[in-house]
Amino acid sequence: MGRIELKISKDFSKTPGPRFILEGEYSGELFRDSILFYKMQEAIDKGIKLRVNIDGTAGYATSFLEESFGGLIREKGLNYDDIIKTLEIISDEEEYLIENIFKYLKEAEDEKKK
Amino acid sequence: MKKYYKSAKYKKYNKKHSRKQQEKARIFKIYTKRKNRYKRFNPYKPTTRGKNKFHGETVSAPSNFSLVENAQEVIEFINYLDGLYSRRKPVFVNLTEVENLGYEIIVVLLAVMIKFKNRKIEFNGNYPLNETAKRRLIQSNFFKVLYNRNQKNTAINIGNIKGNGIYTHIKKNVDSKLGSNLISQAAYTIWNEERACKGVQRTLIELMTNTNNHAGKTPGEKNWWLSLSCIEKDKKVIFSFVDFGKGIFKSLLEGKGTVEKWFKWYNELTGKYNNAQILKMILSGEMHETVTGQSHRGKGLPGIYEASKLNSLSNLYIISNDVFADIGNNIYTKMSVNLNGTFVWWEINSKNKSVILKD
Repeated sequence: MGRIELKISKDFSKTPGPRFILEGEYSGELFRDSILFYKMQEAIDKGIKLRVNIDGTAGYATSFLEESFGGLIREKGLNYDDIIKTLEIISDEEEYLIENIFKYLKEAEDEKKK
Repeated sequence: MKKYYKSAKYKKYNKKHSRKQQEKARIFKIYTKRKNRYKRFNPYKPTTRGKNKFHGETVSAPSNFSLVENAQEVIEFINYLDGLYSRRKPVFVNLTEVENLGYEIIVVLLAVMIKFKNRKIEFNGNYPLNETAKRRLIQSNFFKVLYNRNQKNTAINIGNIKGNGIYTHIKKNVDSKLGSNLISQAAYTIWNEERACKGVQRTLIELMTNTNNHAGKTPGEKNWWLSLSCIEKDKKVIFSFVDFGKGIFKSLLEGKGTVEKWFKWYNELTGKYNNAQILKMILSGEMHETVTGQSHRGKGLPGIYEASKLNSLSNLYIISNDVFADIGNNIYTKMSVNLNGTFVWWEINSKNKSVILKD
């Protein structure tokens, strides 16, 4: 079974920035709208996994990660269950961020239901 | 008389005399030049004679001039300078009695000084008599900015990081690349190689974002100031971040969310929580306070707290409005003074997490 690979430090930036494009360069909003959303959509359509490697960057602001991943549901209207079935996150450097990202997805889904 | 001035004897005397006078004038010129150069880098007490009379106020800095160790007195001092600034009164800062000059105070002094200079209000001062404090002030290149007539309130970079020293940056927007570069260069002081400190990078981005979004009346209005003090003998780097905006609690007070407004009304009525307790709850995630009222926002401060708990940084202090928080020792204090802005201080050493970034 195929898989789409995405490494943020290689495919986007080694220095991810703030939440919104207006706030500064390499924002979560830019990452989501230019790369992540399309890769996720492609993986969902093909029924394969999207593996996102978050290692190799200088570090992430929580707001970057929330806007990138939580924004898939909140801004782009993707289905939570589809994302959970499709998304794989790997990290050797900051394992705790994997749990945080899935938490942001869950919170975005809960917010959408309100 | 005419005959006398034309005589050979007089002409000989006059030539000799004028040569002597020229030599005197030349020596005096060199002396004045050196004296002025010395005056530029060694400020002295203002003269009270004639047109150079100083019309401002001399303000003495506290002996323990450290925000982290003596927040109350230092904030009173800063607020007093602020008052003089709003009345456009020139200031002479008397540092002679300073025994301890905190690394973090240099960025605060710089920020205050540039504020005065931007409004063309005279701002001057002298050196501490204490040798350690004096050396620290000189190492920071503080006077390079003080005497730079063209210094404007834009991005400045006092020195590239090369070993011991204090390096300061001022900007308005969020610059993740700058943060990453500073951290990897500062890592040399600790590990003798470039490294990434991801928790520190997270902290810097969150602080820059908060300043950019919430410190002023409009986004991007206020500057943030970041100072790194690299201490080779202790193998540590101290980070001091400051903005002179509204501060965390004033921003929250003016926030938009209905939950926040209800909480403020409830708190005013019952007086159950003070700002120190509120900050503790925000950092730990017990209370989700956000200026925007949107529940997916407001992750910045808890993110910084998480970085400190995961040993990405040490000795984290936050001072904002009337709150002094020593996060490492879990001490949250309500002060009787108010800082208009936010000050965050932490250090990294060899015990903190770091990663060698591979290309």
